[in-house]
Amino acid sequence: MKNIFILIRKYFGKRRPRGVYYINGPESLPPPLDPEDEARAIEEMAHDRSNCDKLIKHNLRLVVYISKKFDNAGTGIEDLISIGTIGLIKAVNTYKPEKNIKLATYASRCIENEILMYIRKNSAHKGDVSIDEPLNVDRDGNELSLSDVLGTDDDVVSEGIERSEDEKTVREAVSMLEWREREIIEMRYGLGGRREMTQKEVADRLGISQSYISRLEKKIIEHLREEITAKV
Amino acid sequence: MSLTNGEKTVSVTGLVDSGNLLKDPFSGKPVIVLSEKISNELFGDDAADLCCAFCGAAVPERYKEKIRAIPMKTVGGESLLVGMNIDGISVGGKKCSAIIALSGDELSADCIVPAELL
Repeated sequence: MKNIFILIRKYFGKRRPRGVYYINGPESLPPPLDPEDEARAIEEMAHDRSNCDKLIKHNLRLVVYISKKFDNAGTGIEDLISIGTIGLIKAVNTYKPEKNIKLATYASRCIENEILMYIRKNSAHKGDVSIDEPLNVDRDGNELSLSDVLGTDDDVVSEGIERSEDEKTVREAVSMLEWREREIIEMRYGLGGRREMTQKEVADRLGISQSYISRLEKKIIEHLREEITAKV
Repeated sequence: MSLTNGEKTVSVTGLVDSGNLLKDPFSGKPVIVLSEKISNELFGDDAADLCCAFCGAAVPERYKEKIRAIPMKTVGGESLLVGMNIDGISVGGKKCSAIIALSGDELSADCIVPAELL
């Protein structure tokens, strides 16, 4: 007899949540309060600041809604949610019902302001990406970060070595020139840390004509070229 | 397990509690609840301000983009915890993705860890 009642209760009775959840959070964001509850919560806040929890909790959806509007490649949305939450906190703590504005309206403005201030401050960092930031996560939970993918050109090492070898060769060849020829080359090409001078400037410096400098330069370069190719 | 906030890393012993089903409502990440002592170690002088963030205490600049509001329902009632998206959490040497919450209270351990993080 008893068993039948148990069976009936099992199949027709109201479902009760199993056990008591010790610490539970909502699986989704809490819905907004209806007007009476909201009015009551606002009054409670007026008495005691620490009653702000309810108002904040039930307006978190607003934070997410507004943050999503500002979500672009620049700032992560998680950061925007945090900043938006700050805006909401400020709104709830400075809201004055006598000002004839709905809390949701006032809070929206505060949240937007907070997010805009943050974005403006961070616009310098907008395009930056962290090298360690995970790009992709595979099934085993292994992360792929930018630092794994960044590479260098194949000849990055040999390029440096070749260049310093070339520099040495040129320097040696130039030092073998006659005094005047060497001067001309050093002045024209800015060797030894000087600035490059035009043919006219060099001509004036040496007291000869620009066209002569041009001819001399051609000859010297040819001479250098022979020297260097002979060595190599 | 260890928690990292900026340059500071704190080593703690967490208590795994299968009854901790807290989740950050936005990201769905599990939440680790910190005792007051560990909050002070991790955040230093800012810990007190952070605990009262919802009541209007000024949130220090560097935490503005890390703060979260975590609604909590317990046997004793409902409340709202101050959550933080800190720089690094590792449990048993493995990095994990979670939010920490400042309880502002003394707990039976350094922190209470949800079972799913094991």
